[in-house]
Amino acid sequence: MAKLTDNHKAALKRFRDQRKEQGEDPAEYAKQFRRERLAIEAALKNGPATVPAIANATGLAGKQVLWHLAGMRKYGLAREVDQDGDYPRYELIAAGKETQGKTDGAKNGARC
Amino acid sequence: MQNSQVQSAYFDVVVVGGGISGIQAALDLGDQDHKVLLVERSASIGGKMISLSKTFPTLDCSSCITTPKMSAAFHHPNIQVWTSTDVERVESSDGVRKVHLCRHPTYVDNSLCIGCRLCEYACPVEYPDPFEEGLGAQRAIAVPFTNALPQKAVLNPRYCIACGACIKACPTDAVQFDQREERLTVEAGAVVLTTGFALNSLELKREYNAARSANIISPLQLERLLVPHGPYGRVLRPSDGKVPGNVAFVLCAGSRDQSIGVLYCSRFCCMYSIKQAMLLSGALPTAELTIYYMDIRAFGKGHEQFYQNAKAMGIQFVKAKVASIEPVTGDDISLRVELEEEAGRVAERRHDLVVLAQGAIPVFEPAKALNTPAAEDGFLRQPDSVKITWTGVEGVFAAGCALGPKDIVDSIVEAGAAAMEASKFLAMRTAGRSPAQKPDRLANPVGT
Repeated sequence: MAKLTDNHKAALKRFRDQRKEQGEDPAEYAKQFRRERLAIEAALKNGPATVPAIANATGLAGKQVLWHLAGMRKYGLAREVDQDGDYPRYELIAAGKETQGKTDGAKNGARC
Repeated sequence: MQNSQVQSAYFDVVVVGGGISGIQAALDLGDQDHKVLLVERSASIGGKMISLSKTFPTLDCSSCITTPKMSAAFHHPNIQVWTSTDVERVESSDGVRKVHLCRHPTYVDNSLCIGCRLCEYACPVEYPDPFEEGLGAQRAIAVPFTNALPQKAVLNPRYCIACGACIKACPTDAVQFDQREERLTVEAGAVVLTTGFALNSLELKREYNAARSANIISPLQLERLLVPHGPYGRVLRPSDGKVPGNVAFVLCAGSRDQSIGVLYCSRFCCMYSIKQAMLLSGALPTAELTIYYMDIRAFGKGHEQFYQNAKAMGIQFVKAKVASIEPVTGDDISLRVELEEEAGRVAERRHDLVVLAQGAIPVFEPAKALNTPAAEDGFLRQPDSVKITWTGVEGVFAAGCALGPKDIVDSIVEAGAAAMEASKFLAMRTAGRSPAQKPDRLANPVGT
């Protein structure tokens, strides 16, 4: 892993300043994203759960929970385990056990 | 952004738009030894076709057809590909075409990026992935999608928090926050416009209330749900992750409708809706599938048989105009329909997922970008009925959905025709003269 040089830091600062001039600040979005992701991870600590169950536990909309789970699946942080009625259940993948980007879709041998 | 990449400011042909039509036109021209610049607005070539699950009426895998063509064009010795580049204006005067381009910063030096995605894995922010039609998540710096070409990371400045994690993770120091937008003009002997189409907003028809429910989705969203590596890995409804048991397709939801200003037929909706219903019946064998239609337009080769097969599979075809759509309890959707085969009886039908066949609308603005009026429907004009790929502007040709909605097969055929017209135009222009010095090789260097 490389370190940030002074050139990198200066470029990052110019990038931030330029964006500030345009009135854009993604920091609030990123904080909200982090809060939601942590809440979903916390809800999954107790074991596999469906989207409505996670939505209930976190107070987030089901649509938002499913969107996060899509991201977590894509980056190898969660996977589908089984189904409860019409709803699939998801579980966390313990860090270090699976490599990045290796999701259940790939494991199940999905093909076109 | 990276001036060093501009190897030549003159090309025989500039092809505008890297969807299937543009790729086909570029390949047909490149194979005839013309030097071609293929310009694409987004970060990868492939257009809409690369995001589809299967094609109709053969049910071939869409990306299995598109990926080899993308690769052939990208690595063609006569074709140079510029992605993240907008064409702002095309001028045609004094026997030469001038194409005014705007290259957008990707904040990654493509000559250094090796597509390893370590930056993507290090990035802490995710946003709704446009490739997954908003259903999946994409990191603020990422390779656009698995089979994107070029395989280079692109940073989205709208979501990047400038934390520097990507710089630290990159093994080749390719992330460059200093990149700026760059405007340049290239000259060309001929131009082929393959700018494709957009879909009008799901929310355009107010009676359909798409803004009020996540379960009223677009056909492109359903395509992503149907692909093997889609956002959820299977078909689920977006509001709560339920396996849908009762899906409705509403045809003509964004075209053939005076109230929304799209009078023409979008031509491919009947067939892709039938295809999607067929694929859904495979993915969800117990689901009830209903297609609400005004009339089924199955005019292409093999299309009628495809339609009959769908009926035989148990897919319900209901001749009815959907008057209104309302979200109801349990995230379900209620459709108010007038059943034409029951003397216009009005019925309420309940479904748990509804797909609206949106209208196909133009993206290219001929008046602004080509200084020529658009056709009545907003697409490019075809003033010569025996030379349908000519736009009426000297040396400027068009193909595919830039001329009006049409399916993939027709788009590919038309792209070949436009390439032929462009090639003929170039040959007639240089007839009797010695061929101009052409640059030897234009293949995409690592940097493109």
